[in-house]
Amino acid sequence: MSATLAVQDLVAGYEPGLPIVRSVTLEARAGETFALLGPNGSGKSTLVRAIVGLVAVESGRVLLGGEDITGRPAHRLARAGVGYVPQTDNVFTRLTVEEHLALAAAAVERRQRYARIAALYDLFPDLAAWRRLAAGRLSGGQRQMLALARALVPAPRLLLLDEPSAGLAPVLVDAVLARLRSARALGVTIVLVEQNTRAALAVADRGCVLVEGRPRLVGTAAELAGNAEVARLYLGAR
Amino acid sequence: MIGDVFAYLVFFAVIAGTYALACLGLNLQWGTTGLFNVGVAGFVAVGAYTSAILTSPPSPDRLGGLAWPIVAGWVGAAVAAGVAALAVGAVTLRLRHDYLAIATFGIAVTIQLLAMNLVPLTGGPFGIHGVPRPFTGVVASPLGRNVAYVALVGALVAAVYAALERLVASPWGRVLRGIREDEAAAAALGKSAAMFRLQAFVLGAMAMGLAGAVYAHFIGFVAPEDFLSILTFQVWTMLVVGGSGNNRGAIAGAFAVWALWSASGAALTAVLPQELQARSAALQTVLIGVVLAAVLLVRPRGLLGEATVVSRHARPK
Amino acid sequence: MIGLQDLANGVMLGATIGLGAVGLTLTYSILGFANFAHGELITGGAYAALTLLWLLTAAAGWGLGQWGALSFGGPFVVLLVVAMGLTAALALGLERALFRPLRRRGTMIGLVIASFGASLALRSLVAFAWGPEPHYFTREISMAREVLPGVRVTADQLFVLALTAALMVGLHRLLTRTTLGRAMRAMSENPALLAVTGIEPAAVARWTCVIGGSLAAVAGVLIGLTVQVRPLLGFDLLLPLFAAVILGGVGSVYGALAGSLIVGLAEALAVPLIGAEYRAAVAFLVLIAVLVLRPAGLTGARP
Repeated sequence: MSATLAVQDLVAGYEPGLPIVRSVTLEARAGETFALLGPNGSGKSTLVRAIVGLVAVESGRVLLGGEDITGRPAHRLARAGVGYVPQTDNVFTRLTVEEHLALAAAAVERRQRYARIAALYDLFPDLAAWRRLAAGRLSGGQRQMLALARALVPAPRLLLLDEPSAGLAPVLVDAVLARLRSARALGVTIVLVEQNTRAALAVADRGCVLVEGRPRLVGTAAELAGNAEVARLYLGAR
Repeated sequence: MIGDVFAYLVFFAVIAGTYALACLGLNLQWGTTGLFNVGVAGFVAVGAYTSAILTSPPSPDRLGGLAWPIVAGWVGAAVAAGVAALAVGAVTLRLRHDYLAIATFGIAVTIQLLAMNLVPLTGGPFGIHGVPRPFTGVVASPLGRNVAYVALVGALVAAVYAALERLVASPWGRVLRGIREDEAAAAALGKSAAMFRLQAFVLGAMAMGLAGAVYAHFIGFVAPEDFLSILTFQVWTMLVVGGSGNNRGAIAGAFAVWALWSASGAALTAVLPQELQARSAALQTVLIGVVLAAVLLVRPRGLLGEATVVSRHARPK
Repeated sequence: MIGLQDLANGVMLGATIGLGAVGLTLTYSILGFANFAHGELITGGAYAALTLLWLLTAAAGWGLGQWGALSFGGPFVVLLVVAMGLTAALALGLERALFRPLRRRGTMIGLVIASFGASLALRSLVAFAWGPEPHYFTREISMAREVLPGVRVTADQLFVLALTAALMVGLHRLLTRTTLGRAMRAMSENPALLAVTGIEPAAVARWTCVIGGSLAAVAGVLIGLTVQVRPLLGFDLLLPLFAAVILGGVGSVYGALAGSLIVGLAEALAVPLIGAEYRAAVAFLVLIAVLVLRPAGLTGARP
């Protein structure tokens, strides 16, 4: 069950009158993986947080599958099929792996809960081994897996990830991307904020480069990867 | 009748002036330096009792009663409050805001406890009587003495105000405000930030001690129930209403809230039946509490205050 | 000479402080600020039960009842439950009317000041409406029995211990086995992440108020029963409560219980040495010691 995410002229920021996202229009089509790229401070994280309901929207609209979800509170969006994995502080250190999944499953219909949690343990077999461990005892990579698993429990239509590979060793980055590909195979629309442009374009269908709160380039992954400016700024001069 | 009104205004002005001194002290601690002191009543009490002990005539069941001149008493009051603040501050100022609040609250409670129970020093629940009033023997009529007192208090408030304004505008004051706004900058300054904070805390406490002394010598006695947490709350309300971060706001707030308190007291006395009169203070407290809540909700900057006073880092989750 | 009786008194004191401290540690960590009005929730619980008793006695001739060696019976339990409900309502009212709007508008310091003011206002209202003199639930005296050599406790005191233990077990199950409990523990760490997980933080906040208020009410009613009901009942506990909470580590229920026991024992053991008037100072010393030596408390990771 996937849906198209449409952002229209979105203006958002932490303080009214000081927008960080300055009129962004983009579209992540149903079932595709969309990369959000750009330099530090360009507003990628803020844009995602505004979509998810954690940052106030000053003007503009956000539509999911045609339905206007602008400014809806975060917990209601989570129950409406929007999954979000923040970059940092993305697990509850004092809750166990089990408790994370149970908490996420509270948003799921009662009869489905057991099945959903079981499905997540299938997708993340390591998590099953650590189920009784408090998240605070897990390593960075393990926490990232848990954060991702937690977001996938309610089978979201849209999954937003803020730099899932940040701080991870390459082999763990690959593991995360592999999970993303599985999720994508299920038809989830994925929006991926990434500094690791190469990894992002490897798994994305389309993407957008955000600079100072506005979209600068939009195109397919191949187009972006082949773009000279992108190559120079983000992929390293070759 | 006019005489009564005049006498009442004099009383009002002196008490409001006393509060203004305490409020100026709190403004230095909180408004300028960001130190969350919930123990104001304790420092006022230290000042009041110190001056009372130093200047009152000797008494058989109490230590102290040194019958020193009043000026010495007032200086002693400020010094004692400063010393108390030094002891307390050295230990607690580096704590985060809410822990500092709890710690200073505890100090005020402990000081009140000591005032209540260290009978040989403080006279226990009965307090210390016979605190000398200035101008006795110099001015003949009681009204004349009170008017002179108003002038004295006014001069003190003006002097403290001027001193604080200069202090805050000085490089020292700029450092304080920098520390208040940016915890990281404070950390970078390291040890010196702690020194600056301590100095501000001590100076603010000295103003509070002075306020206590001024009050004690006007009323003529000190007793533990004059320094309960209601006093702390009144001074905080005055600062919030007047405008935290602003010395003029501190003074304005003191007068405004004291006016409100007095007016509500008078209104309650007129309205309440005889048996409930003694409890009217309780309703006044409720009224002031409501006023504070209203100001915090509707206009947190108060009458004259800065628009942004506290660091964004202190935002709740 | 410190004896076993002092230890027993300390444990008893610890249990009574514990009920208040557990509620306070929950609201402190989940609602994000030090609520100075928590003492008044305790006071409110005691007065709610007392007033209800007066009303029912006047209207329907109710007594407190009597179960064996206890100084009360079934009706008292009813009063307790109703007092819990009323105090929970008071806690919710404060949150709705005062703390939630302030949280949106301002800073944590504003919340603390407002709670200090609310505490003062509530205390004054109680003194105004019920008078400053102490009241009692019953004229019955619970007889003290010797349970261990040199240790005498009353049946009422044993009831307090038993009820506290039962409530703590119940709370533990709530926190570890229910969605609400997990959500509460999650919220004390990261409310935004909780929202994104699909659970409304404001709802968890409301339940936290209810639980905190209910526990406070039990503390108040039990103190009212075993000691007396007076306007400063809760306020005089505030310093020991904060000492216990911070000693245990803000947010930890077990920490709050351990802290309460330590504070209770410290007070009970110090009283023979320094006199009963100074017992509040003992809590203050414990607090300062914790803040100087280990602000994170027994269980906390970060200060």
